[in-house]
Parts: sequence; structure tokens; C-alpha cells
Amino acid sequence: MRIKYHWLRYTTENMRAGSGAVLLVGFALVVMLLSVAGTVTPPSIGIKQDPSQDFTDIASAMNEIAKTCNSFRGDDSEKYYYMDSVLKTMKNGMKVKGISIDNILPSAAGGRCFIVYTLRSWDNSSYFTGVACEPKESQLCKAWRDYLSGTSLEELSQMVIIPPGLCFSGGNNKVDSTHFLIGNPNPVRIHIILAYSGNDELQNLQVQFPGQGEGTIQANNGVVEFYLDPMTNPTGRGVALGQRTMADAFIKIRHTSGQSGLVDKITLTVPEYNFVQEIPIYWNTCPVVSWGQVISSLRG
Amino acid sequence: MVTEPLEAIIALLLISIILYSIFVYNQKGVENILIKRTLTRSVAGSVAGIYVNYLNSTQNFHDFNDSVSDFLAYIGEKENVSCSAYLRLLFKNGTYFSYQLIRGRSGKTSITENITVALGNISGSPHVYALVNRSFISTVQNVPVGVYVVAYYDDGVPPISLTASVSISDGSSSQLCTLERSFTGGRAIYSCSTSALSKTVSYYIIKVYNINVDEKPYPNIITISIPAKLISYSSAVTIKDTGTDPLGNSYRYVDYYLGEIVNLTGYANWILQNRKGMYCTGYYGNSISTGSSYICPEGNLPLPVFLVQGPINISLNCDHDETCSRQVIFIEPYFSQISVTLTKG
Repeated sequence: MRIKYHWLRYTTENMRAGSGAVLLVGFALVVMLLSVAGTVTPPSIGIKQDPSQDFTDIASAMNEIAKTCNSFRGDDSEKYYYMDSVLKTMKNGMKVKGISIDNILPSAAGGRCFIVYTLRSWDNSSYFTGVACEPKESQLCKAWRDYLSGTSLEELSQMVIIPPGLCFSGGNNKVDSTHFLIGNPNPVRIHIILAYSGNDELQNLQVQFPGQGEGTIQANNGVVEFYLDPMTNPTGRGVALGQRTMADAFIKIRHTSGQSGLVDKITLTVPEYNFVQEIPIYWNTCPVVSWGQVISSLRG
Repeated sequence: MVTEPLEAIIALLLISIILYSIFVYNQKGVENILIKRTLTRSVAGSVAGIYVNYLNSTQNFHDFNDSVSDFLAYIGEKENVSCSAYLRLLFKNGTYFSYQLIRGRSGKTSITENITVALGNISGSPHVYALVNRSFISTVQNVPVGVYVVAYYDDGVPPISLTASVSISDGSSSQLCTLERSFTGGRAIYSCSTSALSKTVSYYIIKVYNINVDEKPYPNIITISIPAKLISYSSAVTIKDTGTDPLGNSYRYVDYYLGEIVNLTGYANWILQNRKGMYCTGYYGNSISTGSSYICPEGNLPLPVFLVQGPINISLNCDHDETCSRQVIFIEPYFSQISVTLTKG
């Protein structure tokens, strides 16, 4: 019995030692497999990258472009066309990153340049509207800063409409289209309703709401509704950077009334504040507006 | 079967390690791409920094290209990736010229980052120099000689205003030159008559003084000695810096956006020299494109002379003194993109 006990004890100890070894060997095998598998078959990954880094880079490049533009030769229109062509090339370059630069509105007034632009990730999940304005101490930039800050809540300030009037050209049955931006300078989130009225045939009024989606009016009736967060500084804000500020709209109209001047308009309503603002539509008799005048008129 | 507590702890530990390994394995791909993207962005930023340093220093293009190659070779070795880099210059019409700084190998996965570089700050101290529009002064003809006074800041951007006094002397007596044309952006050409000066000297001295750049006094006096020769000038080819655009407006250009054509009044051999002393030659043409590849002596690299914004001296037909003429153009601040691709596999 003593011998058997010893034998049994010996066997049990042996088994225990063996199972520990199996565990160790198994562990080593798993680690080996995992480390080798990583290089043999890399996993297919779908990444949803936060584009805020790219947005910041592009915003910084836009500021540099506005700054450089101030040094260019020539008049405002020459500066405008150079900036426009460069920005178009940049826009193409951004496609590989899945970011689109929309509604670039470079402008030069009095030799000074500024750019209003919107950045959007292709899945529409992130949105950013920026204003590049240099030099920052110039009257133009100050006007932006003053305008975009400090408003009373008892009464809403006029929305920032860029450009302030929509300008179409052409004769009867001519179809024309344009883009415009709507910004909210008030320090509160507001509910906006857009409606078209006029004698001409509205083909399409499409508004992209920052970070929310888009709404479309296809015919002469109907409205587009959306919310806008406040713009708090002249460099803009967006979804990727925390806020939803400017909406961009595309409008297409067929000229059928044969009239020119202020016949058609888009009415912007904020029902909670009984606020109404009209965006005039001009046919052929388009007022020549410089950006300096735009800012002044916006400031009232 | 009895399990000893130590074994249970070891088993739990091993299972935890395995689970952690699986978790790490699943995260590996995501982390790899994010790390690679961050790395690419930071490498592109560093290359852009090297580029800006090149533009604002005395470094030549060849050394700049070498610096980029060395840096990317180091990154490639350290991170086990292959790097390629391009310098892309955006022209006025929206097209671009692409120059390969370093070529990498192709691979399974690659990430590209672009950094846009724009240089247009008026910064640093101004530089002023003068350039005589002929290579000598004829002592047999009383044709006034032109003197360009040119000012620019450290980064090549011209000032808004420039005023100066210019005089010419035969060593004993001197006379004041008159302002002939003042160009936009603080450059001016002065006309110096030698009719009242001695014709028996071998050198005339031109002095530029009372210089004010952007209404701030520039302390230095610039002195140029120009040889006097007993030969006549022949007619000279010049830059067409006045003309009429398609809309009928007259223009005066001495400033050129990268990619624009410098038109000449006739055919000429030319030499271009930028503010860093780099030069390029061209043979018998009636225009110079600022957006084309020229073979320059410096390492046979295309377009380096125009890669430096700021004044560029153009010498036309200067293989013979009689026909030689000199002028100054400015290359406007331009946009460039540094594009870096990291490839693995």
C-alpha cells in the first residue's frame, strides 16, 4: 500500500506537471498564431475617421491663402480669379480625403481678401463653415467680428445671407442657378423656415443643413425647415468642431414672368421670434455689391 | 480532481492574456492606420518646414532636395516604410507643376497627406538693390542709362512704397538722375543722363541714397560702378511690360504670377537670376514661361529659379555688351503643396 500510495502520488504529480505544460504550450501557440496571423492576413477594417484634424488643416490653409492674397498684384477681380482657381485645385486635392469644399466664396474688396467656405465630410456627418479674413485688424475683418458677436435676444438680428441678394440673368425661359449661405449671428439656436414666392417657376430650392441633412422644394409651394446654431466668431464653427452654424442653399429658377427687378423672393421666417427676413431675387438688374458694402449693409 | 489555487490563478492569468491578445489583435489594424496617418501628416509638416526654410535661406535647391531625401530615408528606415514626396506649385490658371522630391516604392497600403504652403507675409527686414539696364555706358552716344531700384522683404514680397534719390558721377562731378517710372509694389526705374559728365573716364559711379521703404528710412547707400566704353549701343530686346489686354485696358506688368509668360520685344538669349543667386539660361526665344521646366546649371533641376518668390533679374542678349539689356521682374507669392506618401508592404 505504501508503494501504491507512492506510485499514485507520483502519477498525480506527473499529471499536474503535464497539464501545466499543456497550458503553457497552448498559450505559446495562441500567441504565436496571433502574432503571425497579423502579418499573413491583415484584417479588413472600416474606419470612420474624425475629420476635425483635416478641417483644422484646411482652415489654416485658407487663412494662409487669404493672407497671401493681400500681397498680390492687380485689382480685386484679378485677385479673386487667382484665389478662385487655386481653391478649385485644392478642392480636387481634398477628394482623396473624402472631404468636399463647397460654396467657396473668395472675395477681394479694397485690395483685401477674405474667403467664406464650407467643408463637409462625404457622409455629411461633419460640417464646418469658415471665414478666412486677413489682416485680422482690417476694417473688413473687424466688421465680421463685430457683426458676428453681441446681439440682443429680445429681437433677432438679421441673418447673414451671402450674397445678400440672389442675382440671375437671362431672358424668358432661361434657367439659372446660384448658391447662397445662411448664417445665424444670434447667440441662440434658431428654427428657420424658408419659402419661395414669386412669378417665376422655381425648379429647385435645396438647402443643406449643417450636420442634419437637407431639404428641398421642388415646385412653387412648400417650405424648408432647419435649425441653425449661432456663429460665435469670424472663423466659423461646424459640426466637427462642435456647432452647426451656416446652411448652404442652392436655388434654380426658370425665368417665365418676363419682368425684371424685385418680383421674386425667398422669405426666411423664425416663428418663435416672429422674425421675417426677405432674400431678394434680382433678374438682370443686379446691383453691384462689393463685400465691404455687404458687411456694412448687414450691420445696418 | 483538486485544483490548487496557484494553478487557478495562473490559468486565469493566461486566459486574460489570451483575451487581451485577441483584443489587441483586433485593434491592431485600426491603430496601424491611425498611427500611419498621424506619422504621414507629421512627416509632410516637417517637409513643408524644410521647404519654407529653403525659400527663406541661402540654401540652394539641390541641398533642399537632399535634406528632404535624407529626412525621408531616415523615416523610412526607422518606421519600416517607403516614402515618396512631391512639391506641387499651383499656377494662376489652376493648373500645377509637380516635382518629385523623392521616389518611393509601391506597396500594398499607402497613405498620402498634402500640406498647402502659402508665403505672403511681409516680414523681416527690407533688402534694396540697384541694377543698371545696360552692361556699360557708351562714351560715344548720349543715351541716358536706366537704373532699377528694387526693394523686397526677407520672404521676397515687395513693399508697398519705395522712394530714393539716384545720382551718377564721373568721379569728380555728379548729377541727379530723374525718376522715369515707378512700378506698383515699390520698384522704380531712374533715368541717368551722362551728357554733362566727362567722356574720358573708364568707370561711372551710380549712387542710390535717401532710400525709404514703406516710408521707413533704409540706412544704406548703394554704389555701383559701371564701365565706360568707346562703343555704341545696339538696339536691345526688352520685356514687353506695357500693353493692352483683350478688353482694351492698358497694363504695366513687372509682376508675374507663377505660370505666366514674360513676353519679349524680340528674340533673345537670356539669363535669369533670382534673389538667392540661382540662375538659369535660355536660348533665342521671344518669351520666357515662368511655369516651364528649364535646365539650369544647378544640378539640372527644372524650375528652381522660379521657386523663389521675389525679384528676378533678366539679362537679355548679354553675350555681347552692345546688345545686352537688363530688367527686373517680380514673382508673386505663390501657393505650393507638399505631398508625402508613406507606403508599406
